[in-house]
Amino acid sequence: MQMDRREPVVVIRPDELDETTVVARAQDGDLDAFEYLVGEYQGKLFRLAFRMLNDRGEAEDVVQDTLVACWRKLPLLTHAQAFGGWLYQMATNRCLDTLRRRSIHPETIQEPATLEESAGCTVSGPEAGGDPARAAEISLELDGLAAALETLPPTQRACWLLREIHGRSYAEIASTLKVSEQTVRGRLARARIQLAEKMSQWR
Amino acid sequence: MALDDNIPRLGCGRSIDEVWTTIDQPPNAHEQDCDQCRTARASLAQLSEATRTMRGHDEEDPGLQPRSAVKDAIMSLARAEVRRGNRIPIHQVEQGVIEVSEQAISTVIWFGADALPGVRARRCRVHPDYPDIADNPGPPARTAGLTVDLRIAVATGTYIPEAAHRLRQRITGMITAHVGLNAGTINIVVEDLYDV
Repeated sequence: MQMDRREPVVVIRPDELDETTVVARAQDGDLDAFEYLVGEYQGKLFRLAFRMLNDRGEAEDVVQDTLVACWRKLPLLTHAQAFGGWLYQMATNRCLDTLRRRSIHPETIQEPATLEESAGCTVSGPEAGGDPARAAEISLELDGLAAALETLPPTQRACWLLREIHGRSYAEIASTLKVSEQTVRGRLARARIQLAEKMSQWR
Repeated sequence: MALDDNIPRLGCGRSIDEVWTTIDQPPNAHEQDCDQCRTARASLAQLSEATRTMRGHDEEDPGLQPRSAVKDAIMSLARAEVRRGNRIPIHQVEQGVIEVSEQAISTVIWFGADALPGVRARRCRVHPDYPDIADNPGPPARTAGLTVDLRIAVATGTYIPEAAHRLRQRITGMITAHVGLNAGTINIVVEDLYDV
């Protein structure tokens, strides 16, 4: 829209607003607001999908499908505050669908990929502090946990990732997976036991 | 499913959740003596450490982001399916009708509201508040007014009547200046408070 000089116009960027306001404007068709939300959530959704599927291409498909569906369905979202949970829910269900399709067509089974091969990244970052021995230790820890995650049933893996890596609430996870909160707690406990056992074997 | 709901227990009777939630604390008297608890604590502590590592690492790792082509594809689809809301006929001359999209007017209103401290404009509906032009072919060049329904959040501590008054004035000014119409009714709903 072309603004003229009649009134001073203050344009506040989406990152200066609270998320609910940005979501409300995206619901009313504001593309800048939507683009900001895509930037905020694409990394989170990608990390969830990558750890669910262990495949970059499929994880990117989940991110794209989820955010395109988000744009289409945004006007129907009744509680703008629930936006984050709603996105996680759509992404989780797409990951579970992808895994279901894989189990029907087993030829698409993935080679277990370590983080380095699949993501093209190396462990450095603040947690290694430039110490190569610590970096190697972190790399081993990550590979061990990633390999153990692969052995969990899909819904347990989803419970564990949503709770432990993404910090989502029990109530939200329960509604995402259409089970009770008690079931979520049970699955999480079982996921932790299995992960702890697998990681001990890995060492 | 009952089986799914159970929190598994160690042979000594302690639930895994009890062990897990106290993993950062020193072992209690039972845990010091119980082999099963000691083993469980050791392996869960290792998992807890690895979990923390993954949480920190994945978030920081630039390799764990989708390629920029993904965002480009999402945004070009969104642009192709852009929602402009209703088209509002605002002016009629002999040569035809001038219409403005509801979304364009909302953008003007948001910008106007953003200039006011303590106010954040959220969902916005705009309706022409005059009989439909199509039903009323009468004299041309007749400018109509608008009704605005706006939901807002205000900063905690804001005196709402005054904020709403200034917001009304601001919206009226913006619509007059940018759309060339009178804002008739401006309904404001304060739906939320936010912390500054």
